[in-house]
This record gives sequence, structure tokens and C-alpha cells, in this order.
Amino acid sequence: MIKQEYMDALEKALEPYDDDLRQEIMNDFEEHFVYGLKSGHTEEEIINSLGSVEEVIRNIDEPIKSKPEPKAQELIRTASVRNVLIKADNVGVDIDLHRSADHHVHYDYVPANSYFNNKQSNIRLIKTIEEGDTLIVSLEKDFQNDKRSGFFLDGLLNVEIPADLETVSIIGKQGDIDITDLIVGSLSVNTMSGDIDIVEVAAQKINVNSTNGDIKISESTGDINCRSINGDTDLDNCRAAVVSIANTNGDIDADVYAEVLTAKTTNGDIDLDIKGAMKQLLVETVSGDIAVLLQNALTFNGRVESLRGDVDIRVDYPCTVRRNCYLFSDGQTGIDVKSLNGDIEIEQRGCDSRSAEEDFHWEQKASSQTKDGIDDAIQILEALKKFNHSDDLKELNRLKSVMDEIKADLQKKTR
Amino acid sequence: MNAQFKKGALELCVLSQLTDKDQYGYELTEAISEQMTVATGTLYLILRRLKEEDYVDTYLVESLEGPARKYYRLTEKGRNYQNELKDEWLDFVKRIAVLI
Repeated sequence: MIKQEYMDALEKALEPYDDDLRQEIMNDFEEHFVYGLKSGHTEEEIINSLGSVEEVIRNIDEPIKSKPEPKAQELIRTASVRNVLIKADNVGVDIDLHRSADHHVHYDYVPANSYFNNKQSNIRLIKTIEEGDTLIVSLEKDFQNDKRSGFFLDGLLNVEIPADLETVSIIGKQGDIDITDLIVGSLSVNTMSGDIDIVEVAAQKINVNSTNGDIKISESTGDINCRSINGDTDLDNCRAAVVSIANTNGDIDADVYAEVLTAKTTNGDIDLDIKGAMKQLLVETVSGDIAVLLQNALTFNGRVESLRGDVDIRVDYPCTVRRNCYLFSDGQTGIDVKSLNGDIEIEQRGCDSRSAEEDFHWEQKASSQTKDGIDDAIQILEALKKFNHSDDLKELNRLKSVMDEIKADLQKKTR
Repeated sequence: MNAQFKKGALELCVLSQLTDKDQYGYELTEAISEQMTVATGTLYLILRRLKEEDYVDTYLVESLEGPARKYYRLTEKGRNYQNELKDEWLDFVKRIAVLI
């Protein structure tokens, strides 16, 4: 072996180490060769004296420089892979997913130490397999060595994916899921606990399912379908043809451009700010309040109704009112907003600046509502009179005459 | 020889080469390899470690014969460390001498 071969072999063997270390060793050995040759030794003798490359490498140990952290592993994706599935459904890790700078899928798992018992994470197996055109990246628990309770979070899985995939799916269990800057045909996220935060995703479809965590989607485009049992759902500045949100206990807060929007929750409140010309709006709660601000919808068709709550309608389009049910017809935006116990507030943007003529129309409408209310009251009073409790009769008669006066007054006004 | 033991002994040898004068790598490694069989390549690793731990520092001296020579110099900390190691070593050798 001559000097050049030796130095080439050494350089290659030093590759996994820190650049600084590699450079210094190479310089030291180069200098050693020069002065060894000057002293009259042959290259062969100097190599024998230095020791084999293996021996040198073997002596690089901790007190010197340890190997750098392994870089994110790279999967050279075959052209046939169209889908990526990230599977972490029996482990509790946080997942970060974002766009890779090249055409490959990268992943990197960073285990966490427990704060409490100082034991290393028991997740050690990361597996990647290709099934047809799907690449599966999965984390698995090493159950045999699992001595810890399931409460602990077990680190962070970083995944980077290229921009031209058809579907990306995440199946998680515990831990937060952060997704940033993706372009994909369809994105789907399923998890039990932990918050889901999706930012700047461009997709045709975004499906999110969570049991306990909050869902937040912002600055994204694509049809959105969210389901959460206990978490809140927050859509901020998203654009979609179809948005569908169904919660059980969480609130829904959406600031979107959408053509068709469905928002349902049992106990949460719903707060919507909708831009764009809507085709269909369907909102439903059992106990929560509903507030809808319509930025561009002009004419309506359908109904707004709360069985036990108050309804406040501020739109510039005629409707017929029966108690707490407001009926619209012949308009372009289909509207179906209902609540059992909650209050409802529907506001059309610009509606506050109405003309005097419109004001008159609104006053008329308000009066007719009041009149309906008074008619009801009179009927109740009449009914009560039939029970004929002499003590209360006088008071009932007085109330009825007050009502009659108000009614006559209103009729005069609206005529 | 036990690897750990050898490493400690070599470290003391390297440090001791520098107590009287600064030396450059080839000079230093030659002096040691004249006395014992050692892969001189590994001595550079020891020098590097000693430098990382501030027992030695280095400076370059231009040379007419070839590339600049990297000289190693013992620091104050290195001098103290060499003394400690030497005392330990001598004490150790004395005890061994009693036993053998």
C-alpha cells in the first residue's frame, strides 16, 4: 500500500465523523508523511509505523469526538409510490409532517427520555415497507422491554414528503400532530388524543378525525371534513368548495371561503364567518349558541329556527316569521340553521347600513313579530280567565286591556 | 497490555515529551515509537484529545523543508496534569515492584 491509497482509505473511514476531526487527522498524517520521508523512511515504513486505518479508527473513542447524530434517514422512493401512510397507532409520539426539499421521503425519529424515571423511550422499531404503491412508515413499541406506563410521550417523528403524492395518511394515537406546507392530493389524519395543527396545506381533500384533541386548520385549501368528539375545531382563512365539521362537545370556529358548509355540534358553540357566495349552509346545535356572519351571500332560501333560544336575524332579504322560525324563499343561498336550546344570530355584512326605506320594512317586520307575540299573550290571558279564580281575574283583565292598547297602537303604526 | 492501561501510559508519555520543549507531531511520535511498539497514528488521536481538554495547545511554524509544522505546547493545566499522572504512575510502579 502506498501513501495515496492509505490516505484515501483513511479519509473514507473518517467520513462518519465530524468534519473538524477528519480535517485535523488528515492534516496531521499528511505532515507526518512529509517529515517521515524527509527522514529517509519509505512510504511503506511510515504506513507500518502509523498503524492500519482500522486501528486508527478503533482508537477514535468518546474522549475524542463521538459520531455525529445520524442524519434524517432517506428513502429513495421508487417511482411507483403514490401514497404515504404514517402509522403510529400504538405509540404516543408527536408527529411533524412537512414538505421535503427533494423528491424523496425522509424520516427521523427522535426518542424522548421520560422526565420521571429517566428511562429511554421504548420505541425502537421504525419500519418502512412498500405495499403496492403505498409506502408505510411505522413506529412500533417494543412491548417486551416495555416497563413504562402508557402515559409517557415517546418522542418526535419527523417526516418530510415530496409534493407530488396522491394521498398522505397519518394514524396516530397520542401526541400532537403538526402538518405544515404540503401539497398533496388528499390528506387524512386520524388520532385519539393530542392536538392537530394543519398550516398551509394545498390538497383536494383534507380529512381530520380526533377524539380528544383540538383541530386547527389555517391558510389551507381543499375540501375539509373534520370530526372531533371532545376537541374544538378552528378553521382560519381556509378556502374550499365543501366544508363539513361535526363535533360532539367542542366549539366550532370557522373563518372560510366555502360554497357548501355544514357545521354540527351537540354542546359546543358555533361561530362562522363565511366569505364567498355560498350555495348551502347547514348549521345545527343542541345546546350551543350559533353566530353566523355572511360576507357575500345576498339572497336566501330555507329556514332559521331555535326551539327554545333567541333568534336574531340581521339580513337584507325578506323573510316570513313565525315565532322563532324564520323562513326564506326564492333566494340563492340555501340556509338551514337550527338549534334546540341555543341562541342564533345571523348577520349579513353591510346589513347595518340600510336605507330609510329598508328601515321602514324592517320596522314593519319587527312590529309584526311583536304583534304575533301580543296575540299569543292575549290568548293566554283569555284561557286563564276561564279558570275563573276571582282573586286573579281583576289583574288578568287589567293585563288584557294593556295588551289590547299596545296592539291597537302597533296596528296604527304599521298601517 | 490492557487497552485502558496502555492508553493512560501513552497519554503520560506524550505529555512528558512536551515538558522540556515544544515539539511537532513527527518528532514527538518518533521519540515514542523508538522506545515502544505503538501505532503512531493513534498518538495523533491522543494529541487531539489532549488539545480538546486544554492540556496542550498548538501553533504552526513555517518550514523550508515542507508544509508548516504543527507544534504542540504544554499548557499550565497540562503541566499540572502531567505531574499528577507521573506521581500516580511512579506510585503504581513502586507498588508493583513490591509485589513482583
